[in-house]
Amino acid sequence: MKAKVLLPILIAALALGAAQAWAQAVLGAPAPGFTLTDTKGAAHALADFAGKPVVLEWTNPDCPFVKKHYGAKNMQALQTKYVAQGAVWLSVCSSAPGKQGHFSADDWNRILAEQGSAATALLLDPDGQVGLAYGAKTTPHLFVIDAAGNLVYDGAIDDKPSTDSADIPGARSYISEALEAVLAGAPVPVAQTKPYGCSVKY
Amino acid sequence: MRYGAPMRALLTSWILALATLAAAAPIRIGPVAAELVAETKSVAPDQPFTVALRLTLDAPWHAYWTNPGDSGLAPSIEWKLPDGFSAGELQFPYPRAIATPPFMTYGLEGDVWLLATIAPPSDWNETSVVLAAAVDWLICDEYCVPGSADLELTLPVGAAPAEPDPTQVAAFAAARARLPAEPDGWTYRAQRENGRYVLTAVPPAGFAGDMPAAEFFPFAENLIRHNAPQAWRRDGAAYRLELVPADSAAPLPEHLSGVLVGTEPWRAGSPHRALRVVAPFAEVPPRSANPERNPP
Repeated sequence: MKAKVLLPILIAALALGAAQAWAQAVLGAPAPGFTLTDTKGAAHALADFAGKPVVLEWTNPDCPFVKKHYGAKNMQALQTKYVAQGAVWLSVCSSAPGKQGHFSADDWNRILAEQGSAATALLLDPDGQVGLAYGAKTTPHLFVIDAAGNLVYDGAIDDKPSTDSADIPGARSYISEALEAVLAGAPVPVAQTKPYGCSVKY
Repeated sequence: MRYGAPMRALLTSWILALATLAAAAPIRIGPVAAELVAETKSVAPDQPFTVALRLTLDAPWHAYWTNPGDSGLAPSIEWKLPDGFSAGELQFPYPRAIATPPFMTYGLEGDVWLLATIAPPSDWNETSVVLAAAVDWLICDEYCVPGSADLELTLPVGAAPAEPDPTQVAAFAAARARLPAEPDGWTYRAQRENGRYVLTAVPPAGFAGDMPAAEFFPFAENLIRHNAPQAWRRDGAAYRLELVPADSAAPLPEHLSGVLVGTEPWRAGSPHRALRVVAPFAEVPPRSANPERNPP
């Protein structure tokens, strides 16, 4: 009898704990720091990139919304363009072991080559700690951190929530707008949007 | 192009035969079967009628409501109708909250009927009409799969009023029972109180129900924290539901709009478990000088 009463309390307590761990990232405030290992085995700390704008792009190569932007070479074009202008582009995968999108570093390197990814690195976050700290909900979900280390964009890649790559040319690219503003030292016009995509497979 | 009468008859019968085949066999793509279903056996000029986009999903897959919650995407339809015909918005049944911590999505499962009103013109002189639509959906379980289908339905033109298709009466009644209802006499208001949104639902005088619990699904995607618990309680003659804002510093919207879904029908003798709510916001002065420091 007692166990029946205690179980919901335990679940509630766990839920509360999860809520506290969820999304410490706050727009306009310093972005949460982290250190993660990339697919080549190199460790990257957010602090290493101080002085440069940083993009965090949550990804899962088997998600249809990610396939939309990689299949049409849209994501790669954005990576190439903004890395050339001095930004750091970090793709992040928070898929847990056994879940969709979780791959070994070797498999990831093959996938990145196939995609023609032009990201600075792909960071592995299999325990989801960095994803949860940022409140990454979907793949893709994009964050922009300015050169001063503040979180200045949190949201969707663009304004056309669909899996159809034909929607890309007519879409308003929120990530381009945010990066153009950050590179020009101007305020980001739309700092927060609702990200669209598959859920991150924590 | 003009055809002679025999040619036209031949074409019509050929098109009808094809359409009958299409209607008899829903298009199945993986775990989803998609079809258009008419409520009436025929169409009459100037007489709006209802067509369902029916998506039958194998368990455990789900599609999404208009506000999908933390991730996902609602089905969409692009009608391809003859000139003069128009189609209303897809009407969605109320969703089910699907928790996959830390996320909450608003899903549609099983036999999903999305209704649309089609309005024919007054001068439709053909013997039949072909309703076509390009449909897109996203279904997810552990992972997500998009799908699309080109659907078609051919209906004969007959006298007004068009007769309901007896084989579909029960299905359309069930589909309507899942649409949010707007029964007379209910009033709604919303306010921000101690960092929470509070929705107050006032039943009509003489309301005899006693709803044990209800859940609110907002139409707007960025309004509330979808995964936060919602506190429901009776407050005198009214009901009160506390919701956690997505952003407690955001300017107040004009309305708190969505559907309020009870654990049972709101009224004896009515099947409706969902109420369509449009609650105007009124800003209420905080109870203390530091409302944010008062945990609710």
